[in-house]
Amino acid sequence: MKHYQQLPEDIVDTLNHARRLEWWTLGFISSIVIVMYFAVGSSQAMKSAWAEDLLSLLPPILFLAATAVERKPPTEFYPYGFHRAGSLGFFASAMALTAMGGYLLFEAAMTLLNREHPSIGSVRVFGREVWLGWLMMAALLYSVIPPVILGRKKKKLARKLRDKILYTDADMNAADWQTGAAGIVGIIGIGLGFWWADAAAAGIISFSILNDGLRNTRTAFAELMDGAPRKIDAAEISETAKQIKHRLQKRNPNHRVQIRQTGRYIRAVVVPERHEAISQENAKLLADKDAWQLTEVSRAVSSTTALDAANEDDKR
Amino acid sequence: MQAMEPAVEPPRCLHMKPTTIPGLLAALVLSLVTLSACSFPADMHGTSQKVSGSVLVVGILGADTAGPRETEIINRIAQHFDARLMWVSGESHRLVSDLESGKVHLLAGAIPQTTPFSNKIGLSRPLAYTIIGDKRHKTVLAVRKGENAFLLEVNRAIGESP
Repeated sequence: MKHYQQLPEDIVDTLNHARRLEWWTLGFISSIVIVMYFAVGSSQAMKSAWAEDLLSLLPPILFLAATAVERKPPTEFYPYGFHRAGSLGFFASAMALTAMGGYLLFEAAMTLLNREHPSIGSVRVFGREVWLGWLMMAALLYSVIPPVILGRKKKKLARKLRDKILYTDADMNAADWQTGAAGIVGIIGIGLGFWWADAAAAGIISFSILNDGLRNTRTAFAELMDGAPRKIDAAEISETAKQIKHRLQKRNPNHRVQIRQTGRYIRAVVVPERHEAISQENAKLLADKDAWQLTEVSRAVSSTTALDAANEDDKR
Repeated sequence: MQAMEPAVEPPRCLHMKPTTIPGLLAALVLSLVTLSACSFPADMHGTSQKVSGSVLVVGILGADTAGPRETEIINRIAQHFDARLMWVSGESHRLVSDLESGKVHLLAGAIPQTTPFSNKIGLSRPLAYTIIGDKRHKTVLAVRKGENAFLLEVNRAIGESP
């Protein structure tokens, strides 16, 4: 039994390319997280930047996991397959980003309110005393370069694959230089003797984390709520979805077209207007006294039936 | 389902970033070069300047005199700043509060690195050991928070950790 149609070859290639890039991302970001961990001192901004880097490990992991399971055949317990595994993971990562962003923003605000002055010590390198701030800046500089390069590459692939996890991940990576720059400015501020510079930079960074989180939550929400397919980089309905809906509508007058996104795939249902998707009698026939639970029975349109007849209508 | 029309999404402006990133890096390098010329890092309350050629006030927590290694290091710091030493002892909360307000410049007296005061005071690099309960702790000196030039000098006087 065939559950899915074949994906076009270039989509499969792009998908594999994206998976490779995500493995690279995981490698680089892990190294960044380790380097930053050893450099992170009592700078609030550095701590926020580290948290953001740590959280940016989530989307690549989710993407790799989602692409691994989404083509698995449906089972008795998951008859629709696993297309939406990605959406679920995406929602979880959006929640994590939102919570972490909110927490860090609160902490930065408290640091500012309490007028805490950050103390940064020093280390001995070859018998010379080196201020830790220099090492922190070096670590932050390293933390911006690989993600920005990978982010730009991944963004192109994400558009082609209609993949929201990949797109968001790429977007976050590409914007990573702002986090690094804010962190560096914060540490320079400490070095110049401005106690507030660090907390202010931390505030900016945590605000960007919070913003990412809220934006991702909105996207994930639309998918989990069976929303209409969205554009990959905006909250509008995608052109592909509009077109499918339009064509189906034309071929099925007096019918309502419901279209939704499950992961990167689109599902459409055509329901007769002025009727429920299933009549009371039919529902009773199928579910007896639980008929109220059954709101829809739909039949898939195979390649030879309804659409072809409609095509001829089109030609006429 | 997969045979989609060419994307109708408008092209995104990617041309903006290449001009801002090198510009930002240049500004960064320039500011770093200028910074390394003057006192960097600086003190947020100017402790180094206040102590210089004047008095270095050292608070001893929980004892009358500092340990031999602490005394040696503190003497070295006073020497560096060309400052006279003034020792004060007292109750630890009062001394920490005096450090926070700048009346005392340095705290000594076998302060463990794991001190519960750590969010109120800036800690130096470890310089010796002390036994509290049945655990061995590294000990540090404490400075006012945010006095990063002064802290750098204290660490320099400590030198290698044991």
